[in-house]
Amino acid sequence: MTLTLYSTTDDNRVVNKTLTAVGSAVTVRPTERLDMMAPNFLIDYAAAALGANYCYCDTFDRYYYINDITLETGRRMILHCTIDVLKTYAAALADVEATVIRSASVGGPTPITDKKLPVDPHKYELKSIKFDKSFQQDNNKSCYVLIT
Amino acid sequence: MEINSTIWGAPSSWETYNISPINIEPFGGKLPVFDTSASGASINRYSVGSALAAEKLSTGRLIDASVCPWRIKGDSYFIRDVYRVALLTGSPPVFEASPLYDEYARNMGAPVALTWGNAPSNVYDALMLNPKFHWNEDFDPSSPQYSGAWAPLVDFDYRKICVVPVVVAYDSNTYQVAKVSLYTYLANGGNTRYRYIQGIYPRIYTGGAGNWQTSLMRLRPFGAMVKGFEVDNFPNFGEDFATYGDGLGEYVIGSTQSNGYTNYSASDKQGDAAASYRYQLTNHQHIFYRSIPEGWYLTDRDGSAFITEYDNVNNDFDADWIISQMLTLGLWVYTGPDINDFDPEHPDEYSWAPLFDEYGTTTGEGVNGPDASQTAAGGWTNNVAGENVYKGEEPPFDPSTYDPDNKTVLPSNAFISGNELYALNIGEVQGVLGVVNSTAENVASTLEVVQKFMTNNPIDVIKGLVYYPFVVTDYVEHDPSQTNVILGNIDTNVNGYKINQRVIVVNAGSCTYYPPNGLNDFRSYEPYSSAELYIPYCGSVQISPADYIGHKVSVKYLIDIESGACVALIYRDELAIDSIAGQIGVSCPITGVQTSSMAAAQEQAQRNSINSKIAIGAAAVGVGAAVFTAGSSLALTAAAVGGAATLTSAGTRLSASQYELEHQKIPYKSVGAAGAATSTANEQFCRLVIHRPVMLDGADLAAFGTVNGYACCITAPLSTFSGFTQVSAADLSGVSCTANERAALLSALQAGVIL
Repeated sequence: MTLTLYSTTDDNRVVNKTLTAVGSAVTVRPTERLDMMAPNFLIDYAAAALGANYCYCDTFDRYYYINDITLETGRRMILHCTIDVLKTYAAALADVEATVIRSASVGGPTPITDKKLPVDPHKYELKSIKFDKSFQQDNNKSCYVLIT
Repeated sequence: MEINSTIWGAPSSWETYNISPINIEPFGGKLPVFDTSASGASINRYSVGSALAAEKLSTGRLIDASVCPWRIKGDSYFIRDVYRVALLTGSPPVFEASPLYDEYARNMGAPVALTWGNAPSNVYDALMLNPKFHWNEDFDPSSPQYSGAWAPLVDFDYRKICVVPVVVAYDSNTYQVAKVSLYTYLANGGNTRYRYIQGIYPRIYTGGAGNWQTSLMRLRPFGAMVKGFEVDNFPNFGEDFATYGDGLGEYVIGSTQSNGYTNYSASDKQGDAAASYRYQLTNHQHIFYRSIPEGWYLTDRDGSAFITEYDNVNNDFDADWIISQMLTLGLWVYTGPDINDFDPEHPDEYSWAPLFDEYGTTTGEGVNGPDASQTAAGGWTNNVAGENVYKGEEPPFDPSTYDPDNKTVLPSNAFISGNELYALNIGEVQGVLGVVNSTAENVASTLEVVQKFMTNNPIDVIKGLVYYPFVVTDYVEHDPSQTNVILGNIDTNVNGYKINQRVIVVNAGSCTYYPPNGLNDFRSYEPYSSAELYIPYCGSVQISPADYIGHKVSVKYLIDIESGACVALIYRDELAIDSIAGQIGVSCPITGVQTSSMAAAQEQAQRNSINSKIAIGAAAVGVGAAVFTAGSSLALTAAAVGGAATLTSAGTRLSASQYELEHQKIPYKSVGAAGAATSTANEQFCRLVIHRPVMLDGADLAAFGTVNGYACCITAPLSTFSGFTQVSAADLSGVSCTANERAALLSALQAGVIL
């Protein structure tokens, strides 16, 4: 089992994270058991690993956040990880049909009510549109009606 | 015989007649009874519940207003029969023509009825052998045309009536208009020989197996089915209707042959409807040449009414389609070579039984051959279908009944009340005021007073004067030229336009309500935005942005020009959906002299003065005056001085009378109260005012979108999105992962991810 170490500055919510390789691949020493969702990888101490916050496990074929690193005795270190399902399944996610309720790519507010939008709750502006016809008062023309 | 009472109110039996109001209503409270007790049996009507009705029913049969247990799904092209239902007299029977050419049946949801035929010698046989189809909604039993003969019936032998489709077309072999059965049409080569099909119609046969017979009677309302005749096509194929190879000239002359058909030839002479400048089509429609507007037109029988709704001619009628149209009638249809081969109890390939839907509406579909016996209609012997009755449920609401135009149409009738109305300008008004304010000094002479004013107060004739902020004659129907304003029997010599319309429509213009740039989203609608429409003389009315955004907003005033009251209709495009009442006319009070009162008072005062001079020392007031005056004048005089006559001494009588003469109180009268004129000083055009939200100070919408995304509701592959994306639901079935991972994926997507 080999880990490829990375560092990334991307938000955890980013699906296709930009990864920068850190050091070289490291071999994982097996522990009593390894949880695929939240593994704790036991590796030999590698100074470069201290700069990693992300990794890829070839055996599991999954990507992981490195949440914590502990230094063990015997020049070992443990990488406490949780799976990044977004990066792991990024390719499959592209084809996933989903009902999206918020999206930056729509470009702006839509007819769907958005209570998060920073609308001033108190202020309004007034606009008006004039009609294209108006009454033309002219006493010199037949504007009076005499009723007899 | 029992009639199932669930069929639209049919009575429970012939013999008893517990008729519900629904049943008797069409007959106006009378029961139609086929009275067989008298010689020359006839159908008469008797008041419900009367002893006479009971007596007649004991020997006769109740012909109920109930209808056949089905509805017709009609085709939009069917044209009504030319002949109005009427009793026939003479031999051959003479029908009364009726201009019903341009009525179309469209999806008739109304139940239909069969009525019995014309001038039968044996009424009973006529009931059973000569039924006629009839629209129930068309049926007006109070109409004279239904006296006796044309009462609908419910009890008839279903297997003794059938329809044979007939095609009406131009026969290129005989140069005649041919009416052939569908079988003959197809057997003789169809369109090859019978070109320019004019239409189809159902030929009715009655009598039953082995006894089929037909008559000239039409099937109402389907006298013929004409797919249409377009005038522009006529010059192209009209030659075929001209005989002897003369070709089509500008006009045609028709010559009716002994066989009843009319041959046509070219002519250079144009004529009128009474002449033969027309082609006769099936159902007695005609193509008639008119000079104004020039061209050939499809008209009614007399060439007096144009038919304007028609489609292209020369359609190739499909045999299956023709049969389908016939099946919509709900009767057996026979398409074979010989009607005498048709036996409803043993249907062959040419025998079609109609199919109905669960609401009892014909579908235009049917079953032919032996399987026809297995259909509901295939098993009917009479119209009462036994267990196969329709419950009278109404079909689902048909959205096609919505107004296709979605347009408010205001009536065009010009209501006018009994008052005389004049449209005047300010100068003309002042002229009229001059007349009504004539004072004693202005009365030319006593003779003129007698002639004009003794019985007429001009001010009394005036009911009001109303000012409008527009030129009234621009909108109201009025006499083309001005006339003098007449006040009673006084000619004012002031000109005005006499108005012939009381309620007018004034268009106040329009605007288009578009959301402003950058705000074409939820912020333009309630509750974030609101809108109101200021309408002059009415005020402001709140309108819903959702109703009007993206549409034209216009206003029309409906104005009562006598009272000045108005209703402003607010339109969204062509449909008025809001309104507000107001007062657009400003009432102008007029004060005038009750001239005749004044004149009479003056006359009386003069007499009083004379009398007092003569009757110095006379007794009670009124004696001297009574010698010369009528009682009314005396009363007017009293009113003129503002009080009842009082006793006065003879010594003061002279001076009092002279006082009356010299100090004549002028009787004024005011007409109308001052109306509120403030609106005339306000804006004179409508204005749409929109309250729009604004963003918080310093809000960066772009940054907001990047971090939060914008609210939307779009279902699509995630690859079509970018940036912050939050889902409510996702189909993850294509992702090969563990269950925990799938749950984690969905949770992450619902929390929001950045694509």
